[in-house]
Amino acid sequence: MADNMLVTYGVPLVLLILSPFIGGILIGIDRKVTARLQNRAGPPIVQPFYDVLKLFGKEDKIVNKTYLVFGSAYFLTVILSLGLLLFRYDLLITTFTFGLSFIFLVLAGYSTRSQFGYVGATRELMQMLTYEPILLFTVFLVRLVTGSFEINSIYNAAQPLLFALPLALLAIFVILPIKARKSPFDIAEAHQEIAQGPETEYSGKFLGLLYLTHFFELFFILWFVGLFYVKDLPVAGFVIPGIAMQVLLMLIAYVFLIVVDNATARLRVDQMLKQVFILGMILLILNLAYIIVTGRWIA
Amino acid sequence: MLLMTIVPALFGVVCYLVPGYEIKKYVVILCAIVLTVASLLVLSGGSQQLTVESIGLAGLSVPLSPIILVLDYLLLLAFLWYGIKDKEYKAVLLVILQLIPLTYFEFFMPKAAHAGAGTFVLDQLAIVMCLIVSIIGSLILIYSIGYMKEEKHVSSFFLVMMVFLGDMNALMFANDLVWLFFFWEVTTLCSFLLIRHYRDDVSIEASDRALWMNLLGGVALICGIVLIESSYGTTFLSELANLKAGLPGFLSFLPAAAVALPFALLAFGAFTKSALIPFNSWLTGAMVAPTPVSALLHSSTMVNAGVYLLIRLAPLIIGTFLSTMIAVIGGFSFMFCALLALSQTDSKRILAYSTISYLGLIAMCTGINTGLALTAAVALLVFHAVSKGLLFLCVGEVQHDTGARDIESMEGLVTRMPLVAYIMVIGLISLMAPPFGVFVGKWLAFQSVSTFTSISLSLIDIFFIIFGSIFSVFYYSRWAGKLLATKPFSEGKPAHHEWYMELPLIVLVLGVFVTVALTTFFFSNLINLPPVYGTEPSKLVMGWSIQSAIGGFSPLGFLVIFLIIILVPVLVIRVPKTAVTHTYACGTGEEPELGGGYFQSMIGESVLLKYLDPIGILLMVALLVAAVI
Repeated sequence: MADNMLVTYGVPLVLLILSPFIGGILIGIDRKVTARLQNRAGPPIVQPFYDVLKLFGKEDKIVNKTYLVFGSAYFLTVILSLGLLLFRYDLLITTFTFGLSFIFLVLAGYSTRSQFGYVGATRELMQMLTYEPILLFTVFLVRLVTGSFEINSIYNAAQPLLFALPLALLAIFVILPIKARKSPFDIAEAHQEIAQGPETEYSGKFLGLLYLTHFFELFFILWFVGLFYVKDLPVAGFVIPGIAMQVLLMLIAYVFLIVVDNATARLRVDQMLKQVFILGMILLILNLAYIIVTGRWIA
Repeated sequence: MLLMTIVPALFGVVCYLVPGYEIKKYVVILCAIVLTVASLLVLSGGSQQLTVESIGLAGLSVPLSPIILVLDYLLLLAFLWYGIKDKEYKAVLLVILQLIPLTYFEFFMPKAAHAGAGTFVLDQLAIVMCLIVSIIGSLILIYSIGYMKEEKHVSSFFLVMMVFLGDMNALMFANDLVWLFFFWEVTTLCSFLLIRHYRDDVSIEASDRALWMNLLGGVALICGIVLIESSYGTTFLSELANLKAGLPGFLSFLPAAAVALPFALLAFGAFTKSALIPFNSWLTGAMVAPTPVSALLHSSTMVNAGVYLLIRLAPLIIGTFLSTMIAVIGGFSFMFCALLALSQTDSKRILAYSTISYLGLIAMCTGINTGLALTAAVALLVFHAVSKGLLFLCVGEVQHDTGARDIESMEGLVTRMPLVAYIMVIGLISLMAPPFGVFVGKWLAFQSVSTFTSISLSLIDIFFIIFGSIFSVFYYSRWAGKLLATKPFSEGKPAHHEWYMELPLIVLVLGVFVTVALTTFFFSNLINLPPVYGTEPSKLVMGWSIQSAIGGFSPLGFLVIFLIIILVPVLVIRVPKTAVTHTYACGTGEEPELGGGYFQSMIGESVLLKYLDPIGILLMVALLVAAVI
């Protein structure tokens, strides 16, 4: 019983505490790899933490109070949704909560009434319009396959999600760069065009807070992808534990992000909307048809 | 009971007669108080049946049915008169089309003797509806005192408003479909009169459109009632569930499934009243009326009557193709009206389209027709009424004070009218974000859409609900963002307060929070489904959370969490004067005009409605066809 408690509450808690460090280091590795690809030396891997620490010691320059409140709300909501994901709450609610964090960021961007914040917030909304349907539809497919919206049922299912939803995972990979704010979909924060988008007016410790939020976010989306393979895999005599498979999947997604980020140029908003919608929806509908034809769905 | 229906009308008459705005004011307040108290009495009284066959008038007992009949004819004659006066011949034709079945029904049709059924039934659904009508309606009445102070035709305005409220209550309680038809037509008359309040060309045109569309629904309704009488032998809603239907003789050429035809006609009537596509134009046209009227039409009365009827019909058509069709029509309106709202800049039009879109969602839930879906429908109806009433009153106050209702001109409203603007932001967020009631309803709807036992047309609803929700989030957040946009160093002028208008706002915004906190109570005590569904909504409640078979969520828990998430930063963050700076402008110190993002050329009304109206009409035809195959 004590063991069980430890697994159900201890492990998620440890992961929640570790997640900013993991996220930060992943971003650091990303920067290093990208720099090497461009023949630069690149910053040390722990540079993201240096950045955050430095920002917390800086003087604040503030436009108004509203955007700071919403920025903090964005930070807290991302942590909340990561907590919901790790503690295996309802997957639908978790997705909506994660979506709400973006609404807070959008409201923060609008409420600065700065030209870059305004354009960035609008673009952030357009991005939301692009990825949220695909995310929700995937959640719906997960529900069809596992019979419930509870995350626990993914762990209790007979087969890993990947076997029933291979195309849905591909669709998630398509929207992955949007959620990770990476090329070709780093539209809302396109720093060459609109400074930092909705985050332009932040400075000092509030900017540090936003950096920290991005660490959490990266971990959230990778963990979400990892949910597609959480079952043990027996290979020739011995068993690869489910958590190892999950980490493997997370790593694949991470490498995919870096490769795509370096290999593509930024798209326009309308290009993103069209391409992602068409590609993602085709993948998802094919997957839905596959589930229905093979009778894998649970009423 | 009497307090709820006749008395507001009497107050209305008194209010019409007394001279001077000051006295009228107190009559209106008194009426609002009586109505609220009466609805709370009904709530504490619990569900019951009432039989009111006659009313005592000066010692003389007058049976009620003939009175209603006479009033019915008077009403139709009034429509006829207005139709001829405005040269709106569509309306004239439709009135005549109503007169024929009504006369046939009342005088020539052989009718079985009724026994035992109450003429009025106060069940849980009726009580919930009555609470919405009475409490939100009363707040709107009080609000109108402030709003209408300098307007013309005040006496008739208050008279019609009060009659409207009383009549809505009667509509909710009525068990006899014939009486329901009468109250239904009275709402048509009241909304018609209220829409043409200003009596200029635009409002007369809008009111005429509302008139003929609603009369079309009335025709469908009375035809449906005639068919129900001839196939079931009764017109009492509470008896229909237990009876076996037989096709009447003159329809025997149709297949046996055609017993659903009368319900298709009733559903058609409901769609006109709830202004789903293709009938959306009367509700958007109704925006010319004074804002309290819009608030009343959109949140607590009129449009709710349609979905209320759908909820009543749902148990009678479980598992039929008709039901699936209703779900598709509802979902279609949900998604595309949200898209239309996205392209609008006029705040009242945005709200109008979003109302239609939410009514579509409710209709979709009644069409999916499982226990979970109907629970979602009732929950959405209540929570939507509170939030939408609130938003309309806010918009009305902004228009009253600044004369503008374009959301572009509402930019930075928090510095000019802080109270109203912050309440408006809360209202907007309550329509899209967890843990607020509308979100709970949407979440339940999403669950019920993704629960099905066989693959059917209703699979398309999953697209409707996903895209509809995202579109709504888009336009609500953009609007909320505009309200909040403030430049540094801008000083607001002290706001002018009109307490008659602001008090209802404060009550409603508290209501938004209280209804969330009471969600579990509401689910366990106030939603009661017919036994055919097998599940009780109270089974969904576990402690403080709502737990269905496929997912759980605790509204109160999340309310507390989100209050912490917002309030802690509000209290902790300090902005020292020395840290305030101008926004970043690349060092140029100037900035371009900001705005846009409405995609009018892609999804504007003129582009989309061209396609949506024909599709909507096709869907209506499909609805009627669905009933007979």
